[in-house]
Amino acid sequence: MEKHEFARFYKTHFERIYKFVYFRVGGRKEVAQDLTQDVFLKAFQAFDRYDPAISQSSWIYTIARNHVINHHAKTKPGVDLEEVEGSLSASVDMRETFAMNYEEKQLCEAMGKLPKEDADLVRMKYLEGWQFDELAEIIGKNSGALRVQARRAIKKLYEILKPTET
Amino acid sequence: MITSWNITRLLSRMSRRAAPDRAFDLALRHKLADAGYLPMRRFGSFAFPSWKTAGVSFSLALSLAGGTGVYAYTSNEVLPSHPLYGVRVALERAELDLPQSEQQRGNIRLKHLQRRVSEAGKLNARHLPVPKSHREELLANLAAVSAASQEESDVSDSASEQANESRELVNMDHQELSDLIDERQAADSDEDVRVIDDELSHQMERVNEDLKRMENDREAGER
Repeated sequence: MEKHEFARFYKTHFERIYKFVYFRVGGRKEVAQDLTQDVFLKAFQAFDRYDPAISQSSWIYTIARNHVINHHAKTKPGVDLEEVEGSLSASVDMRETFAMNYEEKQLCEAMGKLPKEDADLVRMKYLEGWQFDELAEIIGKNSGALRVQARRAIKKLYEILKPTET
Repeated sequence: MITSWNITRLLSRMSRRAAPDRAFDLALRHKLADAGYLPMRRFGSFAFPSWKTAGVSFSLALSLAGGTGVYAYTSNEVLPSHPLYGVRVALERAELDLPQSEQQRGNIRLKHLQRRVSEAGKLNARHLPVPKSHREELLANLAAVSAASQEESDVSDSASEQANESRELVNMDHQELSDLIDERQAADSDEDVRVIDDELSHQMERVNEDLKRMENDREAGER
């Protein structure tokens, strides 16, 4: 990738990467900013070695994911990213820092009841803002299949959250 | 009452609240530029366009179109199913083709987009179907406004927080509307279509609110 493409690359991925980090560090803004900055510095330092066969989204996502894992390894030894991802709904940190209202807390708890693949997809699509085409590259599935999966996951959330008829 | 639309809306709201600060974005851009990773670029001052020049020229074109044209262009009753709707669309295209700056064109696109949303809202209120062509045009207009607002945002580091936020909302509206329309096309049951149509209807209301907010922010910027 040429250097003049950096600006576009940054513009496309900045917000998603920030949100990706943000939701994985318990909504702590300063930490999310520091880690996002590190991710882009790392990405740009490695730009010369970028393999165009891999999508830009997958590439930056991998860098961000590894960086967050390293951060957690340093700050909370023994905790891996899967645990961190899975604990979004139950994260006391997140609830406090994000000042969730009742509905949002319910929703996060419901997300915790979804199969992990569905919860990850909902989080990445609706909270972090990845496009289905990008998710297809990152997750390694067809974008149409992901669209259907996301729709079904939302329906599952609805089934979990809908008021029970008495 | 929780609906699947509430769920996507809640998620969108959480996503918006999690968005990075504009100040952080700018600070990081400058840091990357200083490190030589991004081209050094002086972002220009944010300039809000004026409606006046384009308005005068278009008034002239409208007067040439005659009374029918004026009615087609201005009446609230000319909806997609109306015989004069085609005249309205043609006049709007002519309005966009007039010589004018990109900023003026952007404002006109915004005005047209508000009309499409308002028309779709009126059809919904009358329990009439919103034609597919209308949805597509609405989406195309929203994409154009979203792209233009992004370009403005790219060359500006002095836009107000509100202006940036309203742009972001419109960008997000475009994405959400686009997803909903794709989902509607892919829906495989009447129940899915009904749920998605409900979501589309709510989304139209939200687009309308966000566009009004964007317009207000732009007007505030002009002052």
